[in-house]
Amino acid sequence: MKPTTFSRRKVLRGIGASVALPLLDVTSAFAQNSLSNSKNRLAYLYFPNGIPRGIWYPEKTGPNGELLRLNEWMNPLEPFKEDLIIPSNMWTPEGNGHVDGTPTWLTGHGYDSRGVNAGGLSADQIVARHLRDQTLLPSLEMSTKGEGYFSNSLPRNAISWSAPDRPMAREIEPRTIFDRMFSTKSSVNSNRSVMDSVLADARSLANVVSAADSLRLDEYFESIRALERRIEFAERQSTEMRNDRALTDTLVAPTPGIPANHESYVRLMMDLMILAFQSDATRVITFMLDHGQSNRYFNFIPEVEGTWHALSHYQNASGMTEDDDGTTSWESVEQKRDMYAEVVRWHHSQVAYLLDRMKSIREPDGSTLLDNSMILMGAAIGDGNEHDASHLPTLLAGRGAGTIKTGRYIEHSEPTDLASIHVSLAQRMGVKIDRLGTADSAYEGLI
Amino acid sequence: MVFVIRFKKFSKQTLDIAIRAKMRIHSVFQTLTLCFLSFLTGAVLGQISDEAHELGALFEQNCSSCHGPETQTAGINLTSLTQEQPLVKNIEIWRRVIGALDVGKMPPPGAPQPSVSERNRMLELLRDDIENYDFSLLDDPGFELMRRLTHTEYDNTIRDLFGVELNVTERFPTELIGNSGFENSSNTLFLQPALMERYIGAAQRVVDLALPDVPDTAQHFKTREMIFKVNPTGNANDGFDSRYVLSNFLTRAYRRPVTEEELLRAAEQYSEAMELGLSVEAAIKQVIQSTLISPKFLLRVEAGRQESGAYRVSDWELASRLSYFLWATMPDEELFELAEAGRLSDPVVLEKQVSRMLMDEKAVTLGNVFAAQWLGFHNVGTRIWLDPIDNPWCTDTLMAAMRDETSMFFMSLVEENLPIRTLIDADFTYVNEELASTLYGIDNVSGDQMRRIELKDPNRGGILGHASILALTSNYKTTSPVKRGVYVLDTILGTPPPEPPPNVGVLSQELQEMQEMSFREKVEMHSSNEYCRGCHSRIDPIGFSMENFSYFGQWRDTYDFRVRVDSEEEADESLTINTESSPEPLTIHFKTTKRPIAAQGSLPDGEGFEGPVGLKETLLRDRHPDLVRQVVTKMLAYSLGRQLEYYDEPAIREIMGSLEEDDYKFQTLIQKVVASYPFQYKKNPAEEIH
Repeated sequence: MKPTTFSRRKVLRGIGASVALPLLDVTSAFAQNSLSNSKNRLAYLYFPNGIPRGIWYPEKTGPNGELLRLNEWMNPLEPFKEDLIIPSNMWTPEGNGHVDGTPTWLTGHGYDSRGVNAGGLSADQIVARHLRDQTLLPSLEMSTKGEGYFSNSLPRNAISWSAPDRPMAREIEPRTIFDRMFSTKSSVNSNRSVMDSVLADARSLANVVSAADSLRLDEYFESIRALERRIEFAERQSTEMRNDRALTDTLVAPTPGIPANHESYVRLMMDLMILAFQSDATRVITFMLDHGQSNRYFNFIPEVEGTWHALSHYQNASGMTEDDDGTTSWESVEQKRDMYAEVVRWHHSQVAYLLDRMKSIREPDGSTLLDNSMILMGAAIGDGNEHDASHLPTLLAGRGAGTIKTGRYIEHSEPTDLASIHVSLAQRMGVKIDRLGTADSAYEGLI
Repeated sequence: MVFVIRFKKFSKQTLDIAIRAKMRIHSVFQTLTLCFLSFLTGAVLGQISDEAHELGALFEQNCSSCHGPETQTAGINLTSLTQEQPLVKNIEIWRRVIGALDVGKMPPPGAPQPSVSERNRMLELLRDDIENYDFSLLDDPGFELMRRLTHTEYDNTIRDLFGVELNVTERFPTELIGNSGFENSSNTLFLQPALMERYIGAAQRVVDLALPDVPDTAQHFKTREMIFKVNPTGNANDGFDSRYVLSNFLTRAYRRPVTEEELLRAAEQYSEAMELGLSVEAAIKQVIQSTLISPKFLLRVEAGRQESGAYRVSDWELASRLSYFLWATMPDEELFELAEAGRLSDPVVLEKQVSRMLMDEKAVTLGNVFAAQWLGFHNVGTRIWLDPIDNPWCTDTLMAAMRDETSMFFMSLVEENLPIRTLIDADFTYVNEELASTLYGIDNVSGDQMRRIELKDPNRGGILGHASILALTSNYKTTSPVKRGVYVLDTILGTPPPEPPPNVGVLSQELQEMQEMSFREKVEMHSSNEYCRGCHSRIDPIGFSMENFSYFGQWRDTYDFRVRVDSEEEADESLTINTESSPEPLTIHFKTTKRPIAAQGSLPDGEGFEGPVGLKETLLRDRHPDLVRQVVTKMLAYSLGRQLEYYDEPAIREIMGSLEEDDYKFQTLIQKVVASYPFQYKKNPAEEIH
């Protein structure tokens, strides 16, 4: 059969025919230097199961809340106290706990599980939408591989929502994240032409399906457009960029699979966060340190026994509750509580690793990557034993490209809506919003 | 029409229609009529609203400080819910409300309590509106957004399209499960950019793996033959007819006849590729690759129709509904041919096809997808497992055998057309040597192969004696009577107890310190707390009757507590170990004490019984209708790929009615699900904007 006309597709292919899809491959370069002015990055680190009450505060503060010394459970972050803000008394009015609290954490809305509806977009996705033409990936969603019974439960696994009824898919494997950022040519050969040809055909489908069904079709096209933007961006980037030898020489793709050692795993994921920020593959990242009701064992920490969720119900040390594993029991409530706190401290150590590395990376103007970032770490439960909706452990690291005055503890006598902090951070990413979920104003305390 | 609150009783409805008719006809006597009507409607209004008003007032008085317009704890606003008539629209929430009121969970302790008569009146009013609602008034087969294939369906469909098992979805983002309990629910099958990237990569991989440039295995040649089909009426050069090949492939990939327009477009893509110097094969492969990322392949597309009422899906769509329900994959040749001939919707043909499909080995997905996700045993080995270092016996192969047991057992119920009750009580099961000897103490089985065995122990038969179910209802290495009780009430009977309020899921400190008490006594003490007892007196006795089954389903006659003791005299076991901290080997002593198991149980509001045998007998005697309803509900939800709504109730009742007439046989169940209104029809959503 002979084609009778020249299609747009053919012309396109004429231009790009001989080239494999030029996503960044390992030998090409990074956008590192060209775009970094006034570039602010945003990351959210979610952890489940809350904290034992009273371990999230500084031991010593100055007259204006200056952080002088953190407490023993936060001491891994001691070297970075100049870069932190610790706000007290944060809460999410529309629900908390393992189920509702997880979607609420970044949306500020209540969660309707029957309707699979989070009420609105999550803060990270609002920012991602705003920045979507500026980076390779509008955002990156990461999680450790879930453990235990609830690791495929939808609400416990969804903090990031790109539409009220659509959570983002998360990446759990370091190699996959690497490949998404620095795709080697093998996986994407000629995809552009394949995609291009499917689109015209797919559009005709809109005439066939019902009006309601076309919502799903929109979802399809939205995903395709996201990929197109990504491909265009990669093309532009690869022609504009010069090799950054310092980076490419040290860049090694992680081996496929999930590291068995949990610390290596989490740190590798953090390395990828840094790589993503550094290469400007994205400026918005969420990282779930396990699903909302994690039963992970932290027995690799000396002196810690029992699952995370069991530890969080520390007021009962019998080892005989519904949350227990039948093999672990504790000598006292205090002992169990301390193990629970150790798990939180372990997470602080990992965050310290992240902050340390971010601080060591220099931006062109001499500032550090951390200076130009905002890392919000927190949980959707306050005291785990009480399933407390208030006093949510929250901390913010990084100076947000000079927009945040760090090194402070901010005490609130009244419960303060966590979503107001999300508003403030989104504003610092250039988004014009002044409300989110239950918060009808920005948080004023950051400067 | 504010006064038309519901059409429950015939007389009210007639009266109401009469009133409206009068309003129209007697407009001449308007004034007079209105006077009369105001008297009459006043009476009717009073009678109907009285109940709604009364309910509203009772809620206002007792519940609205937490569940009213201002504060909506747990998202429940009883004021607005009462206004949504008929109440069955929110049947799930109301059932929860009824449950919470019934067991005294609400209002919570500390809050002002309604009087006994007020509480009973609320329950009475609610039950009257919910349980006695005339569902025959509903005519809605439902509608769900077209959904993408699940990862399982994707892999299976690729397998059937190319004749080779490739399983390329392994690194796709995890499927998450929402309210329906199944992965195939439309409202949780999202299409995110990250997944789209996987589809694009997978399309390439599939083509590369199934149709490599240089074929070298028998499978490669077989797949080739399948794709590059020779046109039997061929007139093209060398038997290769690109149009024929493309038409064939696209029809199968889209699961319906390809249109002329689509074929032209594909042919165009093919020729362009040829012009660029690609080989015939490479050009066809490029079209295939495009097809595999087309929404027509990835989504379960059903053509829309501009109809306000319900309409029947086409025969092609029915073929897909059928194959994705029974096989979790695309239709086969025979279904396609019947669809093509327009004969599939013929009830006789359809019934025959269902019977045929159930005998096909692809129907195994009813066991390893449907039953696995309903009963939760897909979690065994993936999310439920024991640390292999401390528990070397708990191997991957053992856990696979545990899953296979329940899956194969379920399939045998279908294949042999056994009654639903067999699910709970059977005299056979499936084991291999490892499962039989490690967990069941059955020693005349040898080899890895799963095979059917007759059970001598009447406790073991039925899923409540399966290691998979017993493990997933245990905590890590201890049984949980509460979990097992909830499992039976919720998963098996579909009558879940109310959710526990936050932070009461633990025994109090004083209680757990009373070491001499048995676990049962402690749990019972916990349940003697007025507040906890409402639910726990219903949950726990079920779980206690299963206490002879240990945490991985091993049978035990006593609880064995192994505690460390100081001296050799007290010990019945001593261990000598070398440690880094001491130069000398250490000897530690243990003593095991045995305590009897008290396996008496009871069902909520039922008589007592003992042990698994007693439980099974009682369930089948007293709760058989609930069991049947639950199996019907789950199977219907899975077949439709959506969570059920209140308007599905007529279909559920009809299927239950048919089952009653045929000894509750499994194949009848499946036949009736396929024959049901929501399976064969759909109705555009009301809010649709044209």
